[in-house]
Amino acid sequence: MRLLLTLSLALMLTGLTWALALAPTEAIQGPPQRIMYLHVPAVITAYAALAVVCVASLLFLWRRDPRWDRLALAAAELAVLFITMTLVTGALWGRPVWGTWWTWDARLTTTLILWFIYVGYLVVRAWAPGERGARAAAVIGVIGILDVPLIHWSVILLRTLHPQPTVFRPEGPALPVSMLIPLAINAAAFLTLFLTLLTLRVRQERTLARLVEILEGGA
Amino acid sequence: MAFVISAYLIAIVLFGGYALTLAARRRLIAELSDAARPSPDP
Amino acid sequence: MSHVLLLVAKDLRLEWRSREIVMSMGLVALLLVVVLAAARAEASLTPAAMWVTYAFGAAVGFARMFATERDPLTALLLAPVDRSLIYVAKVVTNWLAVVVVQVASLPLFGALFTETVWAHLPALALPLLLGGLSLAVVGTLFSALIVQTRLRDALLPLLMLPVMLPALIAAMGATTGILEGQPLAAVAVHLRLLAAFDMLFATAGVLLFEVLISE
Repeated sequence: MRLLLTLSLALMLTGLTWALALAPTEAIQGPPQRIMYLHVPAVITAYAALAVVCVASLLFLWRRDPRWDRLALAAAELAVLFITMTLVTGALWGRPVWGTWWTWDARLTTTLILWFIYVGYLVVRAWAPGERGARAAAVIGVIGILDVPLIHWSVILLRTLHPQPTVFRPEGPALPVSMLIPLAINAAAFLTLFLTLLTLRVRQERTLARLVEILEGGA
Repeated sequence: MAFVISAYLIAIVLFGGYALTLAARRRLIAELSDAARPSPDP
Repeated sequence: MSHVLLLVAKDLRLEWRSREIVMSMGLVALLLVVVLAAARAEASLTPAAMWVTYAFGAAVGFARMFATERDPLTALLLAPVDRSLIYVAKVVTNWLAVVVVQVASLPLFGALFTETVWAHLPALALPLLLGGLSLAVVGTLFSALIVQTRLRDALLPLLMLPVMLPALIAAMGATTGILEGQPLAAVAVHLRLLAAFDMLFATAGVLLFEVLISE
């Protein structure tokens, strides 16, 4: 655990420094393009978190093991965190470079939808404690993921202002190596930090569950 | 450049906020642990 | 199949007696159309006005779908009926309720927004029906969720509408094209997305409803 935490912080610091100081300035966009080193890793991590929520929710609905529920909850909280970061950094990147804080294109819209859906997940958890609430939230966790294919379909169908994928394309990334490296470092940093926080959070839930059991059982 | 700084500041705030909730829950766990521990007779 | 028909008949009878869903949906729809028209009654805003009305109308109307005074779900669960059929029957009934409200709203939209709704009525039926179905499919599932967790009815819009957004956008896209006089082929893309949404969430709904209802 200590190792994971140290590793994540080291990676985050390296990524931060590289992104702000070492990476080259982009020719057309200028300095604001450095936000990419936050925005893209945030998106990747958000999707990783959502994948965990989905799988954990499905497993919880199938097995009814509370461990899966705890994992889903921890991942959902982090998903909302990283989606928020994605939306805000995206807006801050868009304003100087494309002249607008927001546009109703497919990708932005669906990311916003996902934010609402997983906030809903957390609201249900908060206001409906216990096994029923856990099951209901798991249902939401699964439904939210079903939205994701709609994201990709609508990106292809509807014309969009959001830049066409430059990294995750079938032909391979279109970024120069000097930018690809810091991007990869930051992505690795974010994902490692995500794993660290996820583990920490799940452990806290587990300890809390045990304590509640002891306190309620003893009385 | 202000946009870049704001973006990184907001990221720090978000991570920091999350860390605070973790810390708060840690305190809660510590309190509950004390309550759960059987108290020895003085 | 006969089970579904029986359940639908039962739900329709229930709804006919109380008319709770249609009434609350209808009143909210009426209010929304009037408010939106008062704010800005432009022909180009018709698709948006329509779908905002239907979406919020449904979110309010469906809130008490499974309320125990209204529908003894627990008694029904004891019956030897496949749980998923309960969901299918509810979706059919609620879809009919939405369609009734949609039809009733057309004169209002025609009078306050644009008369082209009448000119393109046959084509318009497609997004209305497919979109209405999406509301019923998603709304029924989330209503069950809210009742089973004893959450406040007011949460239904928060839970239901974000999930509905892709369908609403597709429905609005199709409605816009049709009211502009475009041929169906032009809006086929939107209708296909809507149909895919309906199929995907109906399947998910059937599976997840059982999970929510089981004890």
